[in-house]
Amino acid sequence: MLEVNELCVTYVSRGGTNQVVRDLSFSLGAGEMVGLVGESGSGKSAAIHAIAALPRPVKSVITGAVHLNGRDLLSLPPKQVRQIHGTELGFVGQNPFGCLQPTLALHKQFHNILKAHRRTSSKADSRRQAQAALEGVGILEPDRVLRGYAHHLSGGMAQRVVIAMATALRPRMLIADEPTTALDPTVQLQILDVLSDLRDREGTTLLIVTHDLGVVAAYCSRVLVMKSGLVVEQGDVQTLFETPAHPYTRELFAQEELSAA
Amino acid sequence: MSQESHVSEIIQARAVSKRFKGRTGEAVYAVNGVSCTIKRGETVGLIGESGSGKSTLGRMMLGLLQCDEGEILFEGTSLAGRSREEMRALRAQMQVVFQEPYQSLNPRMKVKSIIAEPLVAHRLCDAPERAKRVAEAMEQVGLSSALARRYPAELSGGQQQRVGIARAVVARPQFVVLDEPTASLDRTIRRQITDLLVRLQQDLGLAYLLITHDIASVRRMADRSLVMLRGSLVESGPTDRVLTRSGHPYTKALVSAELVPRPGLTQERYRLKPRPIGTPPLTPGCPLEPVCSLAIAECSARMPEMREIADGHRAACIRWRDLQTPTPPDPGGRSSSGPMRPPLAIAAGARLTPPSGATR
Amino acid sequence: MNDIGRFCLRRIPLMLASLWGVITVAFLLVAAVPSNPARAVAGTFATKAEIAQISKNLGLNHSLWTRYIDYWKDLVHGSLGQSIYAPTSVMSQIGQLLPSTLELIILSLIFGGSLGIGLGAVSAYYHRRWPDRISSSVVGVMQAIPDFVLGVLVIYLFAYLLGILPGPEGQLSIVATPPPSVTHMILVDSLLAGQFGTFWDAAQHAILPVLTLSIVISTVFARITRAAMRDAMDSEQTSFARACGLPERQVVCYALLSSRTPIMTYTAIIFGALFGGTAIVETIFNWNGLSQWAVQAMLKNDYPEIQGFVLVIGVITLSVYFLLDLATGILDPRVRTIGAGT
Repeated sequence: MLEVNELCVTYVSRGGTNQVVRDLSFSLGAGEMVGLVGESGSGKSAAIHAIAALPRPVKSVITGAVHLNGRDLLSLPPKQVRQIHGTELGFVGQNPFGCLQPTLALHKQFHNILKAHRRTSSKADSRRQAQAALEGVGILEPDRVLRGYAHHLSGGMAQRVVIAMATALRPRMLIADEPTTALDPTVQLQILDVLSDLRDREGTTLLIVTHDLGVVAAYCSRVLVMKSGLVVEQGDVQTLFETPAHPYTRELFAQEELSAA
Repeated sequence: MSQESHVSEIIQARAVSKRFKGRTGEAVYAVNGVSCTIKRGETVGLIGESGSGKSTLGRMMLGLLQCDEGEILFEGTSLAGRSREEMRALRAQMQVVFQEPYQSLNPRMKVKSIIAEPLVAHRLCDAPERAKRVAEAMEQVGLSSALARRYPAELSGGQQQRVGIARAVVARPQFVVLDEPTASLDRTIRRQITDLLVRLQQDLGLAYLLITHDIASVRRMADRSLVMLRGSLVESGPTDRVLTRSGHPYTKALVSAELVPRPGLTQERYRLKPRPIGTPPLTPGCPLEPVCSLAIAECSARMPEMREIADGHRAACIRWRDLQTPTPPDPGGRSSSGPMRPPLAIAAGARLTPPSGATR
Repeated sequence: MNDIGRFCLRRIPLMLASLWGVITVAFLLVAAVPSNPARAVAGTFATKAEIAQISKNLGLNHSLWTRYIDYWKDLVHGSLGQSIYAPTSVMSQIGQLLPSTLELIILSLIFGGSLGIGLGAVSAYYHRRWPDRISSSVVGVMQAIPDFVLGVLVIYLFAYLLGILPGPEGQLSIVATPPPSVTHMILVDSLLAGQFGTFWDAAQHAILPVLTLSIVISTVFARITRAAMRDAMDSEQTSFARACGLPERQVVCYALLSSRTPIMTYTAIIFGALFGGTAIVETIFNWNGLSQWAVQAMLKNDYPEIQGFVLVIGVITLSVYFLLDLATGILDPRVRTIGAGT
């Protein structure tokens, strides 16, 4: 499904260069739910944005390959990348209110997305598709939500809407950058349920970036551990929790054991 | 000055409320009739999510916000109506550690000045004594003295939080409010800071009010816990009982929302129904009613009172008994309608089922 | 009562207070004037008695407070008084000359705004790449040139050297006959009267002054747009929009949407500031607008005219601020729902 080969991301600034991601390599199979953990400064955010082929404000040099369904995202022309975004690859950010347009009614935002990919014939058709998408993420009153604006929603609802938008065109892969960090605990649970439900229902492959090992333990089957731009260890969740090989992994996971005791 | 009464209760809140003016002019209660007590040297955990009013309550207990109803007592005497001089002296006794270390430290001041600030503000001692106390505080929190002349931006997140803690204890207070002290820190550092706070409490005899939504830290640090929901206190009691034998569905939901980092662990997940859009207006009934699976007609009629359900353990739920017996997860309405995930397997020893098709 | 209504109601007391302030300040300006208008009217060789007589005629010998009351009395009757030097009503003069100035202001806002927003958007989108560098340099140069220098420069370049545009003759060629005055805006009036020749003539005369003003104000718009759009393009919204596969065109639209509020706010401010800006341009180009008239009034010390001018532009500026706040409130749904109450 997804194969990342020796991905390197270097930030270039007037102060010099900083390699934030070094030789990142891993692969994901279809339908997997994988966690990418690391502390701040580990480069996971940079890695994830590079994998999703999303430019960042910082000038960066990216080398390596990101094969999605056989095609290398990093070497495709921008038009094709844009086409892939939304239809084969979805992305969900940390702050739902940072993702949604504040001054545009939500149904219009859906319409724009559908229109861009030519998946809609009219505003009414977009509305119907949007309603279906919202119901799919567990929103009970989709019509009311669509008529309103982003700031009418609570954090959890907004994140559901963001997920609905990102998956409106049923991409087979969804990358989520700390999707629950900004949310309350009870809401976190609901959002994670939405995500794992996507995996169960649609077979979507999920790559979840998080710093919360509890999320990984409860929802992911495999995990990659990043530190200072490198993947120091990867494997299935059970193994890493019980017998971590790398000292950093041990340190990271051990803390969790203690705090949960 | 206040009599050196060794009252065992440091801080008492008596039916305190705080009103704010809502968007359309009606009164919005951020804190609604909350009563609680914190004893000398103990840690009380105040658990709640955003909008629960826990931070507001914390500020009221520090005397930073006026109570619209009720009163706050410090060592037996009310905070209301005190003169500025009296309040200043009292404030030295009550300190706070904030969530975001970088935001709560003045970026233009050197570390030693930041830590000395309470001493200066409360005019507690002269300059030589100040320097001594600052050095003492830095040692207590584990900061090397070389950092004294640095600026906050040059410190790591953990070090910044230590500065915040040093600043809180330098005036030798009796009571410290910890407002999500480790929320913005990395995992590996959280444990260290928590251990530091516990040690300081033992050494200095501090009373803590730990405001957080992180169940794990409450479990580790707090002797007693309070649970707040939309301004009201819904449960209080010994931490262990509150977390494991909750008397209120909201507490149960919070506890079961804790994602324990142990794979394969089956957790009974008590889920709330999805919330309607935005924040519904406060009804006269229980604030959890719209999303509670146990809700009955009476729940929307009146706000349930806090009733004693065990020794020292109180909860504000009519159906608390149903929670005490091990219930099947998601009773009644479940987490939502529609195609939602069923609860995790409950069978003893059942593993987390790996997702299908997990091949490279 | 809906939000808009409530918004207006809340603003009214503030507006009334501001209005009162403007009126009073306009009046007090006279008191601040050191010289004696009567003396100026009488002339250099007047005797004391003559000056005293004129003073009495003008009502200058009364106390300040009495004059203030009289001033209000006149206002309530819709009169701004009469010019000192000529027996014409200030109100009618303003009525005839204001539209010409408004013509300049509105046209300059349209062209200058478009130019500035365009330059700013390019700068923001191509941040730090060569289009940005070029655009920023252009804006920098434009910003550095004072408006009077610019005015003279364009006259020299286009009228004298190239000869393709008329020189500083005013709104029309000297030999042209103005169209019948309906709105007192020559461009509009000539269209209304169907005189396309006159319209073309007027348009040609308008190009250089509008160009001057446009260049001057475009720099402000450029800076604002660049900053606001820079923030928007760096935001998570842009990232997410791209992640959903939206074309760049749409992404830029979204960014502009977010930048709408600061741009609109600055439009209001610049509108007010342009009343001063047009003073120089009108003088250079002999435009015969309100600002030019006001400058003359100040030189002559014709205080009713000065008062009238201050009052009128004060009222106009207040109204523009109010309208733009209203528009922002309507367009930004977040502000709308917060609106009245808090």
